[in-house]
Amino acid sequence: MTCASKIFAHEYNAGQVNIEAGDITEISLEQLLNTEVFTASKFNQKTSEAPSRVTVITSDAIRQFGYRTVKDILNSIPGLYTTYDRNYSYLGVRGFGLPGDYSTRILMLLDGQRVNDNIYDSFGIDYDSIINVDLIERVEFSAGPGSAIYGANAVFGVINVITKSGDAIDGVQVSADYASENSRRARVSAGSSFDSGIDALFSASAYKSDGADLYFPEFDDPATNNGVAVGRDYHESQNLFLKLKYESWGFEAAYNNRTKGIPTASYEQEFNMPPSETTDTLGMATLTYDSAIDSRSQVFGSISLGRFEYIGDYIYDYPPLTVNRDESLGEWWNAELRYQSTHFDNHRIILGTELQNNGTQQQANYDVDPFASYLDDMRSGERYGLYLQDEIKLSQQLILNAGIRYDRNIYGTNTSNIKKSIASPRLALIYAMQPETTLKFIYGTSYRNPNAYELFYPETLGYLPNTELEPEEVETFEIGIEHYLNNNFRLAASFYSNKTTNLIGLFEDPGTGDLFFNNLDDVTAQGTDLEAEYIDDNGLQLRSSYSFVDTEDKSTGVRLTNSPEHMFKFNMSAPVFRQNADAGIEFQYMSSRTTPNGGSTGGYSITNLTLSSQKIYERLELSASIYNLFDKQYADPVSVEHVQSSIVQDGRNFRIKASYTF
Amino acid sequence: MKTIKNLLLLYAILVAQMPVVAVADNVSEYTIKAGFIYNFAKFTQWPDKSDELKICIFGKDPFGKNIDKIDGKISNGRTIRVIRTQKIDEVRSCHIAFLNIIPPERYLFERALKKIDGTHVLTVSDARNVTEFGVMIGLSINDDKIAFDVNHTMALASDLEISAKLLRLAREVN
Repeated sequence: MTCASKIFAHEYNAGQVNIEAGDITEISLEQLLNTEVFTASKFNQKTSEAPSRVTVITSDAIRQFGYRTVKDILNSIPGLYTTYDRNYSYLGVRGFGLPGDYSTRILMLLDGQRVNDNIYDSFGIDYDSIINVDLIERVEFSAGPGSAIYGANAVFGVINVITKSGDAIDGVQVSADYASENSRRARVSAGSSFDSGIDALFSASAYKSDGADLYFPEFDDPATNNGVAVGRDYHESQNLFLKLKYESWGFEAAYNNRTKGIPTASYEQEFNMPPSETTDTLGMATLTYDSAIDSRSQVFGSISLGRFEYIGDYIYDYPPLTVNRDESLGEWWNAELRYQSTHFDNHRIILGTELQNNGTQQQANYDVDPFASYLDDMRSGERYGLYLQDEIKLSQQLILNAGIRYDRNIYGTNTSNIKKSIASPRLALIYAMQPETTLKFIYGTSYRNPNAYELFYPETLGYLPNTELEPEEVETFEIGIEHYLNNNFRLAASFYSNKTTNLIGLFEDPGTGDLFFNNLDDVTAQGTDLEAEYIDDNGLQLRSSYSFVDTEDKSTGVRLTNSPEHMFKFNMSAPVFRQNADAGIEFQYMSSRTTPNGGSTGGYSITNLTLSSQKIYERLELSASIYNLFDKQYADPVSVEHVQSSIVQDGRNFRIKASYTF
Repeated sequence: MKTIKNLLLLYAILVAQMPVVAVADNVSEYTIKAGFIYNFAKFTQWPDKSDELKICIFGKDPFGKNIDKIDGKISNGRTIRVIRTQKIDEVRSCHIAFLNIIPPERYLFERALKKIDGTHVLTVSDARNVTEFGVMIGLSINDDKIAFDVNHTMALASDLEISAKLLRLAREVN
């Protein structure tokens, strides 16, 4: 940091002009150009100063590449991949996509608010996502440990979905699309920024898909319809969203309800037998207050309510043919208070506290008729977090970002009260070697708690209880480099090494054959994410990444299941037809992955093509997409509740979409 | 808990040993930038003849009280009025608009500029590469000093006359 006196003495005579007294208008332009300044740190971080590698996907990309769900967006981000078992989609990151894990190692935020539920620590990324992608302004993914600020579940990264304002819709917008397998989605949104200062957005949408008849060779027998599940892959969902903003106040409510047919006969169900399906419902409402106290400090507060419900109907022939219902209900409220200050020069301090009350964590399992109960478990819990982060500008080129969060987690009241405390530090040194080159050195620990499902679900279902489960902890070292070749060309690379201790997994007792969740041995991962991005002045955009990761379960010495070694992603969008439309090409390659039974799925590459236009007619937006253009047949590894070890994914399919704003 | 205590202690020691530089509060980047904006007003001719010269800050205000010091000053016979707004439509009647668009993405700038299309607003921003997005004046910091680029084509298209002096002192004119 330069010294204050410079500003007076350096280029012109001290005393002649007194900036402090406010005579800024008497200084000549030449003098101003020669004055050395102190750069004020801004509250909104530039990504090059963030203590992690950040990838941003904007609403433009969502349109240009025909992204249908949050899953499509995440699949384009370096190091992320998804797995679909035709019931749920799961998110994998940096080689961790263990079958049976419900995306618990990533924290999902909607406008900064936690979305992960309080039963499975999970969140939907498919049509079960809390938000319709058309309402997304941008998605920010921060790779690496995030527990120092966000606490539990920010193990390998944090996704923040930032929604549009009412002003961005500016009217009433209707949208409709039609896609393969008689899939259709309709949306109506209304948004405006009113003269009173209120910005409001409301949106409702519904999706319905008949789904294809699917063939599973594992069931190819006349007794099970020769392996064809007829009309079992149906899918439907509804989304509601309301957002209000007035000065420092904000209110947001989001709702999703989704039903998906289960075509795979998972959990040893009868094959091709209705009504095997799951329904998940998530609702959230949040009130926020965000305001500057003075030019150097800012306060943020929020209160949020959440409710998650899951009902799964599974069909068994005991006999008689019986519906076994699996249910869970989670209810919680959350309060957060955060203070940011740049009051001390060269320091940007964030101090925050978070409290979450998990009022209801209920899980049940029963036969509907004749009624027989197997599980009826009611829990509640609480967690408190306190965090402090200081971004210290050691010099013009060097920033030290030091943060720590302390969490106290209490779960399972009444009979057994388990209390766990955990501290998550993070240290990042950010070195701006040159204006165009930034180096980052990051060390951090992150964690997730055993969730209510892992702790309490098993008790009466042939699983052994294990309330001794410890939190899963990860220690990460990471080096990141970001370099701008010129104004149009960005290169970024990160190299990381992490070690997971107490990985939570499903175990089988070799003596009795009973299943139970336990903390496994250590798992290590070393990898790299390389990115290149090019944007030219005529609208051509290129984004490409390569990810490599080596994972190893230390007890067995083998690579984790569903952990691809190589991934390559390429996105290109360019204006076509005299700048009247955009063509978006997406290419994704993934190397082979092992399945839970020791087999493997082959490596594959798929290509998606989208043509979109906002210019054919004012306020009309059209797009047409072909996904998996070359009809590549590929499969995802699935968890042990399936007879199949992998499930074949969609072949070539299409979508056409139109939206119009009145 | 002990580890935390130790970490906090270590932190306290680190902070205590850092060199402390005494800096006057109001001598900052945005004091100087406010000076630049005053000069942009001085060296630009607008087609209208109103008595007021409206300087609008769109988005989050990074200036604070720094820019209030030019409110009420006279520039080329007009009284400067500093206006803060969150609404892009209000910018249409301004003479100068400082666009603080977050995140500083090209498409967000283009959208904002489209909404003030056909007016005589001198657009200014300090986000990276903004003159390429169509903003008329882009402020940047090089070696602790502030420089500015001018997109003269855009200014001419909006009937704004930028003086030769301003163009001469610009780092880049296109």
